[in-house]
Amino acid sequence: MTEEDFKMIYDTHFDNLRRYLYYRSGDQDLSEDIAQNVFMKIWKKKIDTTKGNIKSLLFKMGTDEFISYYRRSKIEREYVNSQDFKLVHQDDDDDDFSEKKKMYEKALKALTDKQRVALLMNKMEGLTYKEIAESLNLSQKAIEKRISQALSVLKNNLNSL
Amino acid sequence: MNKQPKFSDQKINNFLSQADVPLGKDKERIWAEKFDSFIANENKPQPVTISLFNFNWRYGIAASIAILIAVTIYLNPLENMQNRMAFGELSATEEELFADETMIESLFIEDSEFDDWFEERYVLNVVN
Repeated sequence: MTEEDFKMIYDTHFDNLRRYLYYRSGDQDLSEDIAQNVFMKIWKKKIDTTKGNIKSLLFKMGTDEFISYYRRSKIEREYVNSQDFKLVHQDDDDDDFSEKKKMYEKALKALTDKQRVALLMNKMEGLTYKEIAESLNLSQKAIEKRISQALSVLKNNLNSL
Repeated sequence: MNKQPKFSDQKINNFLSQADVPLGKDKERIWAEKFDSFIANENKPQPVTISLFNFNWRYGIAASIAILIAVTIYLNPLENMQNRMAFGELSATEEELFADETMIESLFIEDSEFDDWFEERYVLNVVN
């Protein structure tokens, strides 16, 4: 793999991977570190990116790194729950809007990370169920179920706040 | 009359489609800070070190076995001594030791067989 090929893959997928890791962790620095580690591994090990789905591979490696980090720090769910989940929105300048945004942030944080990932990849990034399934190496049915559950829980959380 | 939920599916979809998560540093900046130097270091030709003592353990074992066999064959004491005695190469000390050994061996020979044994041991060696 040449440096040009690697840069092309980086430009295409780095932010997607970082975003996915943020959905899971709610931690900007952690997401950035893990995404960097994944790409460094790709380069160091000269992983063949021409075969198979590169996005799926990157997400898989990112997930593995993330889980390893969890195990090393030994605090699993407590870690995620301790992080604030933040959003940015085009109406951020509107003061009235900030209260509404905080409600969404709180409600999204209350989802499981798997539900949150599937929901946000679909709603924020506009990915289809099929595309999400390919990225996460899951079945479309599993993604459909996760998004349906996530929406239901999110709606309940928002309406009860 | 049913109370309309404040957050409907449509409202949630609308909100989330216009939202994003904070990603932090720009990816081009991360590339310049982290990956440029990383790739440059990885691409640097590594010095090749040639070890003179590149030990292959299989050769070591084979050599050890060969040495053991050679030592066993060469250093077989009784046979060696007999050969050397035949050629008159034994030293005085070695002759004494050989004599003692032979004397002990003779104690185990039956009287009726002694003459045959003696002939085989001494006479034939001298003649041959």
